[in-house]
Amino acid sequence: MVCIRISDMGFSYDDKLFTLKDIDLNFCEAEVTTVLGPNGAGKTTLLKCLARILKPQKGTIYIDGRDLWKMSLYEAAKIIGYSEVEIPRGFNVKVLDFLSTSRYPHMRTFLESLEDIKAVKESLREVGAEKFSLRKIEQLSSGELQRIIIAKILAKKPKILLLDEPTLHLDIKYQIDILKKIREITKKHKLITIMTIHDLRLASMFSDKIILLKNGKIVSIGSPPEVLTPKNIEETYGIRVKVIKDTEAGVIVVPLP
Amino acid sequence: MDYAEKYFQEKKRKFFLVLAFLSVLLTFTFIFSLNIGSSNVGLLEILTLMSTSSKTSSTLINIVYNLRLPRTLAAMFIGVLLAISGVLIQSVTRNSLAEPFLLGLSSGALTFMALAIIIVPSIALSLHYVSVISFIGALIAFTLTLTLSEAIGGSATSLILAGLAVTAGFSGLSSFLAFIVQSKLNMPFLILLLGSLSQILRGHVVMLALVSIAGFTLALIMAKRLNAIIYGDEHALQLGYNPKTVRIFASMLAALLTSVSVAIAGIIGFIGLIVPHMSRLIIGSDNRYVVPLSALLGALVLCVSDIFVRIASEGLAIGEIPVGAVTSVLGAPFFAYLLLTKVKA
Repeated sequence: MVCIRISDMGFSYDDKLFTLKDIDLNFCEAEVTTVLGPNGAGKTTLLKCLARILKPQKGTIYIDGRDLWKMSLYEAAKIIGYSEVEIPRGFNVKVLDFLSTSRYPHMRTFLESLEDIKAVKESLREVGAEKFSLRKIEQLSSGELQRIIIAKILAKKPKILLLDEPTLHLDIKYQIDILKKIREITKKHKLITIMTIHDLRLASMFSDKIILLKNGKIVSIGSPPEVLTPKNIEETYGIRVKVIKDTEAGVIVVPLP
Repeated sequence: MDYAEKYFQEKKRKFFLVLAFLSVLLTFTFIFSLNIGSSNVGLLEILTLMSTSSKTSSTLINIVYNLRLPRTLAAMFIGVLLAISGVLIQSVTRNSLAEPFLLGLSSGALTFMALAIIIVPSIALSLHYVSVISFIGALIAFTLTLTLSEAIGGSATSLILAGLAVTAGFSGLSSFLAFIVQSKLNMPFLILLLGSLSQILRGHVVMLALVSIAGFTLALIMAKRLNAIIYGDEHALQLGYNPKTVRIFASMLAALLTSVSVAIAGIIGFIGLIVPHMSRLIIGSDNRYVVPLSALLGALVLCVSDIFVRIASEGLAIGEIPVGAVTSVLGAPFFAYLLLTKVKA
């Protein structure tokens, strides 16, 4: 059981221009939320605030009623999984070594226990990456690396998944596979999943809730059909679209010439 | 057993095998090293000396205990210091080409040491003071390198270029100052520019032992944190580590280990580059294994280099060859090779 409440949050990189402002949000367990919006809208900044990487100047983030910034780094690390990684070059790092690092918050022993290894294996299976688990991390293709980055979050078994463009560099099969998997895990383990995606189609297919963000402010929030209306999209992205509601495929947004 | 269990099991097994092998090799090197020298003291005599303390001549005791044993132990401990320092600096900078000498720490340490001795000559008598001052020098040089590297783009290559600039500056300065120390104060100081184990005293060994054991232990405790920071600050944060604290602490430790070795034996380059790479080649990237392996390999490599120095010096009859020259000859081609693979990738 986990819930997040953000009240009146504001964040600025330079103390002048607010990248995020007046953010009031609630996230419930077993729900996938997607943050949509044009480049520079503040999507990644929002995720980083939730990941306890950026500290908001204004407002508070509560996780299960507790102030995120009053938790210790270590406590937050056990609950929250976020996707940012820089790949080191020349260190002879194997995929399994990288994934084992994400078990550190749970690892009481000096070396990894059988339980840690099991969690790593499970995460690899979930993203279908077992066959390149012994490869060097710098030799992976960008699609393979993307799956490993998601596996890294899953291996930690957090309660909150924060995914910045999880479908980046993936082909259509893996886009669908990964998002399906994320949705399934969210429901099964009652997690909170918050992600950013650029593809409105995929967002509508796999999200329970969509947040439309423009210039750091929330334009609209609700279920995909509620949020993805021609009016909202024109207001946020500045393009004219036609929205088709299909009984099987859900909401389809088609840009108009 | 499954592939993942097998991977971690195999790694542990391999580690202990290599550890045992290196320990045996190091023991032989140690005994061999005691056997090498200009006087005619053979292996058999040393072994008798080690097993029975009585019935041995005082010159023999003198040669082995006061000259060869301290020198051999110093070579091993300094090898440990430089290797661990290399592991720390590479993790902190997230750059596998980084090394205390190449980033200017060693030259910075020597410059400050020489400067302090010129200002207060009596300081040269206290190893503690000299070490503290060279530590400050190493820290300043490292900070300069990091600042310059950030200013020119912060990439892996800019770090190496910034290190080159800082090393060039401090090695010029330290040469100049070392020349003054040697000519005005009549101290054998110039040899420190090239690194030498010829002036080791018994007192040095105790300090080297303490610092290497402390440094090794701290590096091992930090191993998980070091593993985490090479994937970037945000990854470390998500594992519950404060990357800034880790980086500052590891940098200070690396500077300390380097400066103690410089204070005693001068500039010995490339051990901190070659050894961590050898360890990672054998066991992979995990610092929980890389730290102990590097300590052993560092001791081995420097001890073997010093044996080579003593044999060559005696054979060529040209006086003492600096050990820093030997490690540079070994290290430079290795560095070039790493640059090649790096540029290719």
